[in-house]
Amino acid sequence: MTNHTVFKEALYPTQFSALQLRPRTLLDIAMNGLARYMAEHLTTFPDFIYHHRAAMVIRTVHLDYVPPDLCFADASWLEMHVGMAVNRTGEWLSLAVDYQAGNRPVARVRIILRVLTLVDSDSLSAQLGQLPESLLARFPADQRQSTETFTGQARATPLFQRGPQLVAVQRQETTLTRTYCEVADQWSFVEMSEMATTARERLFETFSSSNDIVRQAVGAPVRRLIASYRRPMFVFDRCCTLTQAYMSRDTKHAIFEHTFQLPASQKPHLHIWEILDAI
Amino acid sequence: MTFLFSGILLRLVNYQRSIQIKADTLGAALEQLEKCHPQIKSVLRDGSGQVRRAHQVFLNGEQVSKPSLNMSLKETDEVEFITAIAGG
Repeated sequence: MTNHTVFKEALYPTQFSALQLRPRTLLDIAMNGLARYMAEHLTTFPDFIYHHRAAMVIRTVHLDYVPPDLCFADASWLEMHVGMAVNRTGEWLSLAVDYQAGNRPVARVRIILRVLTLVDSDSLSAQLGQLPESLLARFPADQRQSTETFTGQARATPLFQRGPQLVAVQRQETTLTRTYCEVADQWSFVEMSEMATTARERLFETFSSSNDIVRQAVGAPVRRLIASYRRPMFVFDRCCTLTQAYMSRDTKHAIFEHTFQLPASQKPHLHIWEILDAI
Repeated sequence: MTFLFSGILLRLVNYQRSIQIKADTLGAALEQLEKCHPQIKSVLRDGSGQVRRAHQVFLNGEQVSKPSLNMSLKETDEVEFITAIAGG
């Protein structure tokens, strides 16, 4: 029988922008869902790390909104349905969270995670590993999938049929303060999604003289967010954000593409795509 | 040589981004470092004294696949540790 976790959250104003539930809100609730699922069906998150000496890092995130967007006036409660799956060797996990308000679907998050083995509990340093057998055994047969299911999604890069360019590459640099990090001074995937949103909305200032670009950058809700995490960054690292934007070839969507990396890095450490409805 | 620090290791060296040390091997440099910052030893090294596999070692920006404590270092060399972390 499939294991799943259901929980509710009372909604409040800071979870929303004027357009929709913020991506940051949904990803933070997804992490809450992960911790709840683990506590109900595997073990608590602290015990996972300090007793079982296991851990996980996020490789990809897919967030899809279900239109029409839920606004603050629409509902008092959000209900989450959380499921997990594992590959047969316990090296990969997936998390699926479906968000509903009443009986109405609101959004869906799918996250692929790589399992690690803790090396040192003071620093939380870790290396690639697999779930302890005692935890792997708690996944029912129908929640075990082939390794290729996970690795395929972890490697996948979205391919968009590009239409006209909206915004050439814009560069911003900032310091990853602890605002952007988690318990081990490594970036938090939740906060880095917010950094993408911020980079897009900063175009309001950069292109203040071009109303079409400004309206497209800040006037439409996010329809999808896809993130691919390659190499972590850490507290007080200088983070260089490169943002470009283009229309999809069918001109139905605007795609804001962000990469994040150390200034001297040759390759992005993180790639985030925001897909917005075209205005 | 110079050690460069980031992330979780920063707080173990009083938030110093770089620390210069006079030593001609990685092992000797680590011993000097650990005299000033003893709390870093158990994080960087395993029970046999080797650099833990959780830390990737970079010499002048190039990853060293199998770092040895006998690895020779020049005065101008920079050694950086990138640590894989169990977080979110």
